[in-house]
Amino acid sequence: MELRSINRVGIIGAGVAGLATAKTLRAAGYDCTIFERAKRLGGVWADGYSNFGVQVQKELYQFPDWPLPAGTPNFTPGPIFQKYLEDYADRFQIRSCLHIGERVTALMPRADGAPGWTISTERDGATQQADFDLAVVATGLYSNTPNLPNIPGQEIFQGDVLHISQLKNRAPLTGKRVAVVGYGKSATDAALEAAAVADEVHLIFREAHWPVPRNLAGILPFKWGMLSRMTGALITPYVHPSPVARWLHSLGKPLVWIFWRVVELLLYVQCGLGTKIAKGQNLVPSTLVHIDCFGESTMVPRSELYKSIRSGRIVAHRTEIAAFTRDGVNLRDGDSLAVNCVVFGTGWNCDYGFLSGEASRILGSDDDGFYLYRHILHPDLPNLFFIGRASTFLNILTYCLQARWLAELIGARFALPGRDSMLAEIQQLKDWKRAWMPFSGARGARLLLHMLNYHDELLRDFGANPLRKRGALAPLKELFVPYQPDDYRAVVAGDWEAAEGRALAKPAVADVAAKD
Amino acid sequence: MVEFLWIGSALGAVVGVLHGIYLYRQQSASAPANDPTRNRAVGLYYGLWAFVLWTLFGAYVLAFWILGAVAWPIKRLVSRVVRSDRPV
Repeated sequence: MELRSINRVGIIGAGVAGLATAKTLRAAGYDCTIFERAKRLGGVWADGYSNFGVQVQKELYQFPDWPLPAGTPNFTPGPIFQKYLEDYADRFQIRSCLHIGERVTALMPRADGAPGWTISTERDGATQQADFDLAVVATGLYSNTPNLPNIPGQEIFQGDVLHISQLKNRAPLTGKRVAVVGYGKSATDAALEAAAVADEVHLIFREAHWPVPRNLAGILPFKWGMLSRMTGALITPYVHPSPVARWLHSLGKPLVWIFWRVVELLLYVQCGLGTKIAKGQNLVPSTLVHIDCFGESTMVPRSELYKSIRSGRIVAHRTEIAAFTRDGVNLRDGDSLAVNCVVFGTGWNCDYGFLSGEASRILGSDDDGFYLYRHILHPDLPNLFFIGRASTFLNILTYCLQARWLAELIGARFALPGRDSMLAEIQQLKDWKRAWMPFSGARGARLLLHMLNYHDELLRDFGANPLRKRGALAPLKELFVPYQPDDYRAVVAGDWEAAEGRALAKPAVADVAAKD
Repeated sequence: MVEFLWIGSALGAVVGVLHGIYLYRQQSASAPANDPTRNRAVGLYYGLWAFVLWTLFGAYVLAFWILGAVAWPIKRLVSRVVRSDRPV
């Protein structure tokens, strides 16, 4: 890494991660340029499917230093959230950095031998190139590439086949017999949209997953059960577990085991997972809840979902499509469905097609995605950073903390370990995730409930105290009160030392390059 | 019952002391060189809370631990029997 003379920073993607990075680095005095291929900023929030929105309570999904306006509905609808991002860009004067409608076609090491990267872009057929001292890939985990399963017979099917991203309103579903494939957020959203207007709705999924109800027992917002340090201590220990977590998961294992069985029982009762669906199946997942919640399809379903399944408005099938026919689909369990519209709520794939061949080779081609040091960088790709390649329950907060970590790093407030240490750390992370976390194409980026451990790690790196709760009852709050973005306001704003009442003396400026 | 509460609280107190020491050491270790006192005080405060909470709830934690220690092997046994009953 050569981070001593950074001035120009190129950022790919104007979603939440790109905007947070630009805001943080601009405040630190760097000259930022953001390239965004869409016609407006917002990333996944710029152009969503019908009735899309945030799946968590509004206080969990907002910038720590720029709260959502008063009066914003809970579970913020997508268009309101996109407007909020526009306001963020205005408030922090990011708009002047934006190159909207400019698609990045290549990211290559600079030809002049200087540290940094050359970003090639294309806009309305015209191509351009610009050199940057540092490049940030902030395209997130869900680039615009639909994940569409290859199912035989699709060419003879007479109905419509849509990916969720094509479902901009309910019109394509009105009066149809619809089959929705998948069991994640987008699939269940699509099924509910169809349930409002379609003649018949089928939800087809291979495996059921444990839902995260918006309110536990119908009363308590789910954050109280999931985002506290106590729950964090009861999940599978982090890659670098604390002595307390190690003890809890060895001698204290029966305690952990009974806790998760009680959670499963509560979810079973609250969501009615024993409901009989097609072929005598039910909705009880076969994977234990504390493992399943690290899978691809973790979701906070709308409360109507299970009601609609119980009432039969949505007919659930725990199987998969074996083949399309002329008038419908044949299922693997032997059933045939006469449908004239199939919607794939099967998610998106990551798209890093702009990376040079050498960079792609270094990142690897593992099925579960690539792994990075601190989920941010690879030591063999100097001056290239990934912000937003970490999936947690508080994504905005995570991206803001990653951006702060990056600003502190290039401001020489802390130093990276050597190359070998970073590679060893990446290998450790890989081994740890592969030992227990369910497979998915983005496993390398998944942290979910481990976000508190990850945030602690980032904060410790740049010398901030990871314990963010304040007041006389702070120790109690640390244990039971959920963490949310506003706990990190001072850190994200970069003035945590003043907020903690510390003397403002900085650690000696580290020579980052020398340590490499 | 009273004996169980005493045993649980005593075990909780032991765990609480260990947890408290860990929290104190963790905060002390992360203190900036120019201002170590504040972090040590915070560490001591957190440590005391850990001790008090473990002692207070030690008996309940022990009860859950025993429940888990009994139910877990039974569940594993039942799962094994159910699995062996399934046609291959």
